[in-house]
Amino acid sequence: MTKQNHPSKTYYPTYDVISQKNEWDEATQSVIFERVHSKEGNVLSATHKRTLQALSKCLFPSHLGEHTLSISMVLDQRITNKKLSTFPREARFTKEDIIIQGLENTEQESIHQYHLPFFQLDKNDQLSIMEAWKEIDGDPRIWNPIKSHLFHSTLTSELIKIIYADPHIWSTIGFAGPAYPRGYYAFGPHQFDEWEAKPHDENLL
Amino acid sequence: MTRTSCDVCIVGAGAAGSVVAAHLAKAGLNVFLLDAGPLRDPQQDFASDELEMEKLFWDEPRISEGQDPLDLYRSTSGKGVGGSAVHYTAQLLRFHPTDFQTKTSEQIGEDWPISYQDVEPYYKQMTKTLCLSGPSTFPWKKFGNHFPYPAHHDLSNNTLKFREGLERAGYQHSVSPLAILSAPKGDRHPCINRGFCEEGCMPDAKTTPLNTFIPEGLKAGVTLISEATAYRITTNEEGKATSVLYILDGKHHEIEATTIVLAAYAIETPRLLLASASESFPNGLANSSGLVGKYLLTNMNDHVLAIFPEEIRMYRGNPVQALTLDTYLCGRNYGFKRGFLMNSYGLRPIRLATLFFENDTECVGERLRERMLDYNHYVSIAMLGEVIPQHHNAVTLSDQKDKYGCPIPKVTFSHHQNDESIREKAKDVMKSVLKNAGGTPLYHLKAHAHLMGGCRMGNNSTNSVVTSYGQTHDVDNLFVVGSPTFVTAPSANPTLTVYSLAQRSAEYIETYTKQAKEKNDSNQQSKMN
Repeated sequence: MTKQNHPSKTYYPTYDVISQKNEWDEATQSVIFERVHSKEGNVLSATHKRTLQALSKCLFPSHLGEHTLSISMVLDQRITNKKLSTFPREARFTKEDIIIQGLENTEQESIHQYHLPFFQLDKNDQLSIMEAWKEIDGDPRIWNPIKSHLFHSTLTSELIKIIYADPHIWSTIGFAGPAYPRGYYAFGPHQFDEWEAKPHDENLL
Repeated sequence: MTRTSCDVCIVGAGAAGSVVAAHLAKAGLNVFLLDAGPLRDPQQDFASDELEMEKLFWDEPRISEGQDPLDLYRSTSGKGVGGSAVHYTAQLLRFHPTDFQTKTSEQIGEDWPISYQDVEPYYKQMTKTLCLSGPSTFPWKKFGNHFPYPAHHDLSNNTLKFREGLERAGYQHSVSPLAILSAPKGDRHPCINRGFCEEGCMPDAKTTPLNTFIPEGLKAGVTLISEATAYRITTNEEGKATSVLYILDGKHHEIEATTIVLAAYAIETPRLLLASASESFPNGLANSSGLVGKYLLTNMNDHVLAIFPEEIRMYRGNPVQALTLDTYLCGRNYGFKRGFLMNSYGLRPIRLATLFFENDTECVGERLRERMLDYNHYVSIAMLGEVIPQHHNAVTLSDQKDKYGCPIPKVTFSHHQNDESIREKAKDVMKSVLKNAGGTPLYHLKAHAHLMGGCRMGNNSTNSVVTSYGQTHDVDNLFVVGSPTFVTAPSANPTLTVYSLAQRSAEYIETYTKQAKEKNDSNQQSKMN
C-alpha cells in the first residue's frame, strides 16, 4: 500500500456495526452498551481527565475524529473496576499507578515549564513535552520513580485497547464485531455474510 | 482461621489440575480443588468481545525483567477455573519423539526422563476425551492420529491463502487438529466460525476444562473452592507437606491433606514453593536442587502479516485452522538446532493494534490508523518456535509484596542465540510463503506464547525438582503437575501434553494416596492398640 493510493478515511463509509446490536447475544449487548454509554468511574479526577483528553488528542489525532467512546470515562471505569492491576513489562508498579501518577506528573511538568495546565497549552507545546519524554526520560525531579517513557508506553497501550474496542472504529476498518449467535456462513474468497461490511470497490487498490 | 481436611488438595483448576481432580474423585478419594479466580459459565459470563474477555488473563502484579522480558498477562496466563485452557486457540498436537531427547539427538537442552512411548497411551486417551477434530490422514502421524471428530470443513480466507503459499513453496500442509467440536456432542453444538476462540468461546464449541473435567469432577464429588488464593504449603517435622493455607473473602483458611498437588502453572507453582520456605526447607519447599523456578521456558509466537489486493477478513473463523510441521526440525539444515511450526493465525483488532505498538513504539496516531484501515486486506500467519532451556531464565521472589503481603514473583528472561536463529529463519520462511500466496509481506511482529518449566522433571534430585510423575524429590506427598515440569519447550502447542501427563500423574497419585491413607490408618490403629 502506498501513500498515493491509501484511503484517507475508510473503505466502508456506510458500514455501521452497531446497527446490528439487537442481533447480538444479551451478554455481549450489555458489555458493548456499557462501554458506549460509559458512566463516570470514581478514580480519575476532573484534572486527570482533562490532561488525559489532551494527551489522547496528541497520541491519536485522527482516530479521535472517528471515535464515539469517551476515552476518559472508559479508562476511569477500567481503573475503578481493577482492570489495570498488573505490572507492564520491566515495571514495578501497576498500570493503574503508572497512569494516575503519570497524569499528575504531566500536569506538574506543564506548569513547571509553561505555567499553564497541560490541556491549556497549544498543541506544539504539548507535543514538545511528549517528544522530550522519549529523549531525556522526563525531568527527574518530577518523573521519579515512575519514568515518563513508562507512562507514555503504558498509557498508549491502554488507549489503543479502548480505541479498538469502539464499535465505530470497528466499522471504519470493516471488522464485523460480535459474531454470536450467528457465526459465519459465507466464508471463502469473495463471500460475505449479509451483516458484514459490503465489499468495497477492489479498484481502490 | 477455619480448618478442614481431605485426601488430596489441588491448587489450580486449569488443564492439569482439573484432570487430576476428576480422576482422583472418580477413584473414590476426597478431593479439594482451589482456584484463585472465579468459576464462569460460558453462556452467562463470556462475551464476544476482546476487551471484556481480558478478564480471563492473570491480573495480579508480576515483575518481568531480563534482556527479553516476557508479557505475563495475555498468552502466558489464565485466571479462573479452567485457567489458560479457556482462552487458548485449541490447536492440540503431540510432541515429536525427539522433543523428549534433545540433548541426545541434537546436543542441546536436556533429555526428559520419559520418552514419547511413555506418553503415547495418554495422547491417545486425551485425543478421544477432548473430542479432537482432524483430518483422516495427518501427514505427520507422530504429532497426532485417529482423530475422533472430522476435520472442520470451512476454512477462512486467511487459512486458504496460507495453504496456497505453502503448496507453492513445496511444504506439506494440513488442517489443524483442534479441540473444537466439528459435530454435536451431548448438549454442545459444533463451531460456527465466529473467531472468538481466544475470548473463551461463548457457544462452548471449544473443549476446555469447563465443559469436561470440571463438571466430571464436581459430579464425582470434588469440592471446588474458587476465588481462593493459596499462599503457603506447611510441612511437619518428618518433612511431609501437611496443609495448604489460602485466602478467601479476606479470611485465612487451611486445608490439611494426605497429598498436595500444585497445578498453578509456571509462575505461581514455583512462587508457592519458594514462598513456603521454613526452617526445614530454608531455600523453599522441594528446592534442595536449587532448581525451583529455574529453566523457565516459553515459545516464540511471531506473526508475519502480508497485504493482499483482495479482501481477506481474517476475523472470520477460529484463528488457527491449518499448519505445517515440515519446518519442525529444520535447524539441522541451516546450522542451528531444533525448529518451528507454522500455522494460520487470524487476529482481532485489539490484539493486532497492540502487537503493532509493542513492535514499533512509533506506531500510534496516523501510522497506526493507516495500518488498521487495511485490516481486511491482511493475511496473518504465525510460527511457534522452540526456546532453549537456560538456567538464568527464572522465577524468583522479589522484595515487593502483593495485597496479601506475599512476595511478588519476579520473572527474568533472555533468549538464547539458537532461539534468535530460529526466529530469523521462521521470519524468512513466513515471508516467502506469503509471497507465494500472492501477498506483499509488510510486518514481522514478535510475540511469545505459553509458559513451561520452573520445576523440571528428572531422575536425579540434584538436577531436577520432580520425577516424571510430578512427585517432588524432596517431599514425597507433594506433587507438581502441568507445564512447570517440562524439561524443554518443543514447538508443538503444549496443552495436549499437559492434559496427557496430568492423567499419567493422576493414576500414580491415586495409588500413592491410597497407600498413604492405608499406612496412616494402620499407624493410627497401632497407636490405639
